[in-house]
Amino acid sequence: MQDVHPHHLSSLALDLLLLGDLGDEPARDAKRHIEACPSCRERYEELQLSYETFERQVHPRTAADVTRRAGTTVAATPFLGAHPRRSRWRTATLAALAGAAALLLLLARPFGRREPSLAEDTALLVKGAPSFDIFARRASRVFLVQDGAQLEPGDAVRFMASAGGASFLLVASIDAAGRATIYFPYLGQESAAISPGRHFTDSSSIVLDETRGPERIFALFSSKPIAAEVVSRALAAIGRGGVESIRGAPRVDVPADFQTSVLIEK
Amino acid sequence: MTRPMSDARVAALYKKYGPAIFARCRRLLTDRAASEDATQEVFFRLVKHLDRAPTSVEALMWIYRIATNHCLNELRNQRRRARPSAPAMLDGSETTSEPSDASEDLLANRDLARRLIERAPEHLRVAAWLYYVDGMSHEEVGLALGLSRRTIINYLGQFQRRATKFVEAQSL
Repeated sequence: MQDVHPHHLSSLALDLLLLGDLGDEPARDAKRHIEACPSCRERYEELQLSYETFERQVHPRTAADVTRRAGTTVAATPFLGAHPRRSRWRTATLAALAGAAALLLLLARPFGRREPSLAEDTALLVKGAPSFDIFARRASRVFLVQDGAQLEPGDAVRFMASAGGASFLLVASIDAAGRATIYFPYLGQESAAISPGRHFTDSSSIVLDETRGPERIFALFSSKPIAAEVVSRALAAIGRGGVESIRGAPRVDVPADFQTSVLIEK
Repeated sequence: MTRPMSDARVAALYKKYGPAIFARCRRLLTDRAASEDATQEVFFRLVKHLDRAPTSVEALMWIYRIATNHCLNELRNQRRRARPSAPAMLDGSETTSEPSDASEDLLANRDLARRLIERAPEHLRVAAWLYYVDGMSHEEVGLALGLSRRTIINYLGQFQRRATKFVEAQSL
């Protein structure tokens, strides 16, 4: 069994890159590889999105509680010599790994074709509220879109959602021109089926057009499909109220079991 | 001799390594709420190791080990609650001979590897995940799990044989 397959970046290399601990030259090599390798770029962007979600949403909400609950004592032992199970070969190898970070770029498996995130089997039946995030890409930077965020025409956006207990999802928006667009399923006739309890990532990106002003993007989760026409009419009603109506309307009047929205400004 | 870990130190470790823990849990569990819960549980287990880790490499090795094991256990428990009759992987040969390239090809499909890993015996699961899904080398997997490279190769060989038998049995 071969060990090293110099084709892709390992998870260790990607995490070190995002932590800023890969070293200048290895980091440059890694970024060049990411730009050239669609598979690694996709993995890197997915990892980057998770990092952003934690930093922007999870950490602010949980840090105080985690700090309070952690309250632990730790044995103040020096690194070397006080861990009887730490062998010399492990210590030396770890040091070598840390010092020869360039080698980390070449540690990989020859990944096969990456399966889409939407799986048909082994539904986990995990309950909980659905969640919906929007991420934008501008040049090489990927970032989480917060409510009210300022975006530019040409920015590419992707959706990520957790279905919770929902079975169907429809993503649609109303923009300042009063135009309702069904983003997911793209130009579809009704909500698309999603696996309950699973995570979904729309594999395609949507490039924002030149229309300036507010655009509110709705994620409509439901146990039954909602007709796109119903959603479009409800969104158009919001649009008729003008830009302030779009900014001030976090909900749309449709039979969704759960809905959330994000306002973007162009 | 013990010393309390200061709140500032805990906060700094959570801020620095929380993203890596969350990303791993999210990738394994997919559900956002479950991932957040798992992130905190894993951090509490890890915090002492993170405090002592001299480099991010060692910290990440601990994260991969603890988080992967925790989340795979969660998946196993959920799967048992949902489908108690789900078949476990078949018992494969326990020889130490190296597996064939055919089984390597089988596991080149990461999504398939994920599903097979969830069904594997506990002592093989984390090693298989780190190798097939994370793309880590035998040596890195060994470092993360505190095992020799030879042991990892042995474990992965066992996993591959079980996976091949399982897939063949499902297709009959």
